[in-house]
Amino acid sequence: MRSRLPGLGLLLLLGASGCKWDLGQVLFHPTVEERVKESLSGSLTQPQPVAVDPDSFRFAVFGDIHIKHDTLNRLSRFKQDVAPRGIGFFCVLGDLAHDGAADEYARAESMLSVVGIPYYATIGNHDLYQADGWSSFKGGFGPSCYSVVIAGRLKLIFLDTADGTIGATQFDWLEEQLNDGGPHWKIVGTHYPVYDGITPSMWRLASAAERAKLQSLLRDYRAYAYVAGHIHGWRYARVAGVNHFTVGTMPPTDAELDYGKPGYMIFTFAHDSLSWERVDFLSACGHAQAGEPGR
Amino acid sequence: MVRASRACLTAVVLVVSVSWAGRFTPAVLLGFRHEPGVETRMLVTGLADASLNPRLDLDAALGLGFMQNNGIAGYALGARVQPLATRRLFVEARIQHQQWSDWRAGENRVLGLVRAEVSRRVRLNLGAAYRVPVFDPACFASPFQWQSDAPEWNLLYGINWTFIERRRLSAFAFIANSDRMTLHNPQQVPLGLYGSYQLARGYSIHTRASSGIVGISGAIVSFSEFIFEAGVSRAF
Repeated sequence: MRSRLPGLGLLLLLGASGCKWDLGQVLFHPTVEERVKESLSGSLTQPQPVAVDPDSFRFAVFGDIHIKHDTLNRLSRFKQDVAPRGIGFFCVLGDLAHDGAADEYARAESMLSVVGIPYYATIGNHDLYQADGWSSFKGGFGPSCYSVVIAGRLKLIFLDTADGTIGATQFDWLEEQLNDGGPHWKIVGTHYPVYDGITPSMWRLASAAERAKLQSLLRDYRAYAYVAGHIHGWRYARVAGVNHFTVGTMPPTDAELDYGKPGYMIFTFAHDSLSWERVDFLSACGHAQAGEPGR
Repeated sequence: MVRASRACLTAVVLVVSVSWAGRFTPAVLLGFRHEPGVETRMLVTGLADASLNPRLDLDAALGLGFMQNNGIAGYALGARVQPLATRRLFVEARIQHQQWSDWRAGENRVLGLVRAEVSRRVRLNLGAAYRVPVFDPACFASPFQWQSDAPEWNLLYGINWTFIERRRLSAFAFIANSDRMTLHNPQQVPLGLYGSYQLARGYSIHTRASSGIVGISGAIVSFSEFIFEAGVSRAF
């Protein structure tokens, strides 16, 4: 589904945003279909399940670290939290590189590795802002669409929504993943959120029919959560039994404008149940909101 | 809200039956909608416009889907009023119900907008909609379900540019996120072409082709849906 005409109208916006975009990439980027088919083809190194205590483990989720040449962020602060909070691994939900440049990817890979625990990543729109954006992403982080089952208890399903859409192949694959008959809990992680409150912004999946189909799949196959980034702030809604989170990110300052309150989420699996909490870097105790165990 | 909806429906029926003195135009349209990965279906839509007097129009629509999400696709009731002392300004109110039977999901909406004819060829719409997605399998098909986990207010916008206007033929291009039966999220920017041709006295054919864009908030954009519709109307 190549799109050229709409892209032309966005070039001014991109220029004004300060992003170093590549004209060819904006107009002729590899589509979600192409990326998903490559991700599912087996030609890319597939992320493997991390080893954790199957009876009790914790992991963190955040997004939109937007690494640039000179980016400061709170990954070092996050690293300090890892041991005290018992975080076994973490997930980054897209926009790893601010302009999708190869050197930004290299820096992102280095900074994420320094945290010292395993992590999973998926792709965001900023990761595609250069002609070699997809190549750089898959070279450093692997597929954009994949799933892993952690300790036989939790299935993490990562979707590629960098285009703001899911696409035919990925929708079919998502339904297979959700309907796998396994006894594990399921969490879907991706870049674009579905809901953004009663007065929504434009930073979410745009098609109403697509959102209805996605939500019905999450409901029917009893997904525990749909976790997204893109909006640089914290959001929570429970829709038809499914927890919808927008996780926020790790800006270098305490500014709340574009990035919202800096922080991340922690999911805890214990006693065969899942619970969640939001860790707010600005709050004295670190916790902003939490959910009870269960569905 | 249920009582309000029923009262509204009763009021519409009452107004039609009491003040009928104008023109009545039923139409039937055959359509095709394709959204990659989401749905591909045929749509049959029945429409009825009633001009009760020069300042008040009512309309009703019912859509049926085939191939996927079979059965009722949606229905809507609308009213358009031309306030006194204005010739190019209209106020429109609309209630819509849309549903997807395969997914057991639906959405009820109430829309209000102001329509201004800024020139003979250009028309602008601006308004707001309150939408109530319903994911409860037991009541997704109910137009009286106004409770939701994810309600939201959406901006409504539209611009129509009539580029052909002849005695029998007219055509316009549009960018608009709502029509009689559907509401798109504002950032999907639906755009398209609409044409009508008068075959004979009272009989006209109509056609519409449209698409929408996704990914605007991420500046990685693509066309998201393709809709083609054609049909005939009869004016009495």
